[in-house]
Amino acid sequence: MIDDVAQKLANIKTKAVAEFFSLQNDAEIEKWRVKYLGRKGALSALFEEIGKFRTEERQYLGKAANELKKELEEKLRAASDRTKSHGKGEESFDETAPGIPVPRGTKHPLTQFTDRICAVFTSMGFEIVEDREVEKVEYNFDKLNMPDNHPARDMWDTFYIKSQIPPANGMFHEVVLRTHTSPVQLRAMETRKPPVRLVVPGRCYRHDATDASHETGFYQLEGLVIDKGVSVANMIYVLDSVLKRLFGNFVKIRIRPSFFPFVEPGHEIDMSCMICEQKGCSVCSKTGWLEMMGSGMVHPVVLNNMGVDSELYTGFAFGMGIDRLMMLYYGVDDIRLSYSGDLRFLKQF
Amino acid sequence: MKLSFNWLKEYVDISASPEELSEKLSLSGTAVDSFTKLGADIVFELAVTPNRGDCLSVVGIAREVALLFQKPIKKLVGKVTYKIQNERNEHIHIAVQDLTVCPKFCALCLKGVTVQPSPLWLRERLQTIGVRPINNIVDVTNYIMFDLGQPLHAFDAAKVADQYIIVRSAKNGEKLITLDGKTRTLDESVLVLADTKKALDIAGVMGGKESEVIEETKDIILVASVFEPSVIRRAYRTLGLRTEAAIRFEKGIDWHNLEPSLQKTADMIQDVCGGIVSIGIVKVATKDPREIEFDVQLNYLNMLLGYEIKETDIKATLVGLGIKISDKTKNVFTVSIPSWRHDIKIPADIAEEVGRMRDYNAIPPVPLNGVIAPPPINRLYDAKQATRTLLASTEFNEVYTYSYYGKKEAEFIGGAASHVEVENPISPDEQYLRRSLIPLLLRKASSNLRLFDEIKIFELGTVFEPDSVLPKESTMLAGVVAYKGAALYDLYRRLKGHLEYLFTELGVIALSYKKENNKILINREGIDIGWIRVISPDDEPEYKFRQNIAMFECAIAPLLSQVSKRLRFEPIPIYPSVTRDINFIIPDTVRYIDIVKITEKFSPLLSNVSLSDEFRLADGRRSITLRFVYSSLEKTLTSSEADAVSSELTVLLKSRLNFELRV
Repeated sequence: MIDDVAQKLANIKTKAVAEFFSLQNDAEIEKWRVKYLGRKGALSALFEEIGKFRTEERQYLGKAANELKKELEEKLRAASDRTKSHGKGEESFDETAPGIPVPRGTKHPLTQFTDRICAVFTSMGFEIVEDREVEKVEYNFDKLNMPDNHPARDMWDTFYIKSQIPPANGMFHEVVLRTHTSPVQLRAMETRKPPVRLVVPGRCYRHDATDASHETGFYQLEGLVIDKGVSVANMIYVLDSVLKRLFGNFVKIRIRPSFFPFVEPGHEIDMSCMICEQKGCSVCSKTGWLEMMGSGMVHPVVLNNMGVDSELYTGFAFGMGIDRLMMLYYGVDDIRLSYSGDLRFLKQF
Repeated sequence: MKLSFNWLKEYVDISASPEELSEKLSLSGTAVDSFTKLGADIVFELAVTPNRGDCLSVVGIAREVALLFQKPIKKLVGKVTYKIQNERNEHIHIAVQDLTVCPKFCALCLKGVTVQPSPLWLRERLQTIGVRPINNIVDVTNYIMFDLGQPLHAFDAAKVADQYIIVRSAKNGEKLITLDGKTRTLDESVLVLADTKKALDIAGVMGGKESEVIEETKDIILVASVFEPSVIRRAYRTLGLRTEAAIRFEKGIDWHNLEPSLQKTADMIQDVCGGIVSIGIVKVATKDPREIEFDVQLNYLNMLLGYEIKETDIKATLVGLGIKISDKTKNVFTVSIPSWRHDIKIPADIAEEVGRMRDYNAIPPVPLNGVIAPPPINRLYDAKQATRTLLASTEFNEVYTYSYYGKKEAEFIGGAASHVEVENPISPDEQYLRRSLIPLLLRKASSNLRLFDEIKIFELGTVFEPDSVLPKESTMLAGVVAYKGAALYDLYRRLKGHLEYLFTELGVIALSYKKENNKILINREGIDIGWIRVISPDDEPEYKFRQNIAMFECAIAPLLSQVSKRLRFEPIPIYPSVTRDINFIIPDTVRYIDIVKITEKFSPLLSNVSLSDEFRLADGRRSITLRFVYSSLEKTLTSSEADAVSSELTVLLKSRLNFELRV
């Protein structure tokens, strides 16, 4: 009796183990499980039989049966792992199918380009300063060595602001939309003493007809360095470094004398046309050079207006049009795209 | 300004190619935009900077070219041989009302001229530089203006009453018909040349039709003047009459050039048109002005340019430009500026003369030298940068719109009267400075939604609010979000999720959201810093939306006002937590914030509460699933311990907020 059950147990074990090694796939494994470990399987039936014995015998047989059950369950687990580890991984699929896109947003190309420029300046210890867009004429022109009725004011077409509230002390201030970010430099110098290194990015306004190269509102970045003994040679070094960082080490610059009322001497900085490598193209009007920015040594009158002693200190200033440079960099052909809000444009960046 | 190569070569004999000349002129400060072959001549298109009035003539350019090519310049002006008398001679009487605005005035009378078309060479030369030939007298005066830089005018002497010309201010309302046939009404800010009866000419700007030289003219009076530049500038700008003469006067005339110019003109007229100079020149003038003089330090020049240039080279350059030098000390010399240069007044101007004539590209660049310290922090700028990065990394696209809009948009934000207004806008659509970024952003959203199913756009920009003299300017962040087929509540929660992410990352805490009218206000410590609004297409038909839209706008500066809370590490729980998801049916009036108020300090064992689901049942009732996470720092909580807290909490929610368990 007890020996019969013990023998049955031994048989089940032998058969189960033998069959186990020839199992080929998940379906067969499942069949084997049901046969031996299932609710109506061999072991289950055996447990029922064992249950009819007296306590001592039941315990003895039960223990053996449980051990077998554990052993078979182990095998089952191992088999599942095995099929997991070598079946699915070699399932064939199209490896050239496109990846599921990761959604991405974009910063505006003008933001990106301004950030790139500012990063170069920050690496040279320049501070970033911003200030108001609507300014008094004193800050936009007068204190920059352009008094009222001066021909130099013709260089900028200005938007004027209708004054709404009559000033209390009767002094009338003409108010404009700033034509350049230079007024910010004046305001910055009201709370700073040399040595000073700063850049001023910001939106400026010119009363100009709009077309592919002109917008009424656009972005400029100006800079100012004031210290003892600052020279044209320093200015050339800084601007050359910046342009090389932005456009590549292979670009060359050319300095041409020019005129701005707030600097003396004044310059225009050209850069070699990287589109045609100076062979001549429509972008550089066949000259091989691109106008990049204006610059010069800060005029002593302006230094004095900034509260800086022009006998002790000198400085240089420069200004560039970000829209234009961004368009050159990316090959954008119409300035108005930047302000169109058109996602077909913005998503490209 | 157009320059004829052949004309230039009459003053300085150069064999350079036009390319060489262009290059050298451009690198010395007179940009050459282009040049074209015109018959046997070449015409250069020059861009003369506003400070170089002296370059608005062939002679002026010739001076530059002579120095650049190291060639001699031929005699610029002949000696004046005519007699010069004060105020009057037998044929003409002149006067000046105010010498401060007209410090020098000269006139010359020629009798017996024959007015006819100019000879071919003169007509061609004028046409080369884009000037239309009129008759031989007028053509000669124009020729001299472009040749020597002195504007001149010729009057028909018969039309000058009493042979008297005075330079005076116009009377208010005085009228004059100018050469172009237009009637101009003048005021006393404008100078005129007048005879005893009436105005004949707008001084420095344009002559009058009545006294112009015509075929029948027999006797002429030539005039040449120096005017106070700002007076001429004001006049031509008021009248909208920017003539070649006017732009030369506003930049300053060579004081010593008047008599020689009159002489050359008279000689040329006699050659070309016959006629005889009658007696000579009459002049009314202040004393000849002293030449501008100042000291220059050699080491200043070298320091400013950042380059050691030999003293002899510096002085040779200056002398070549007509500047007289007298040595004072080893380092200091005095310069005396010629009368044709009004732009050299300080040592920096001398540095420019030296630098530009000696090629800045020869200066070796020198790195800046100074204190190395991190630049000061600009918190607003940094916050803007962080905002852009955070939004772009969560699928938003950054947009830039105009700073101004029109009446329609202004109505959307408080009406036109509450906006700062542009006096001279480009168009009515660009008349009001924006008080909010939303109106234009909504327009961009609308047009983009015709092409894209979903959009997430934002803008960081300045808005303007009227204040006393200057408007108040603030940096605002605004955005518009739309998902295809999204319900309003869902849209709101998605946008709010983005904003919560943004604010958290920026370190801003303690924000609350409250509905007020049709907006949800974002409040921080009692101050409203922004708002969110979700709309269906009918809410704003102006924008022609075809789906629900969520928008928001908030100010950046108030987000900075508090020191942001520094993140603090929380020890990782040793013991596992127990999670319970409980479904409730809740009244519509319940706000999630009410649930938070009850649960947040309910039990130390309740470590987190979140809303894991929400929807409407078929019968319209509101169902939510709250996920409670229970944990203890001391042991593993059992199921029953967790359930006990859950039950208590459920009871509380039922009694306080009328929650019902959903089964």
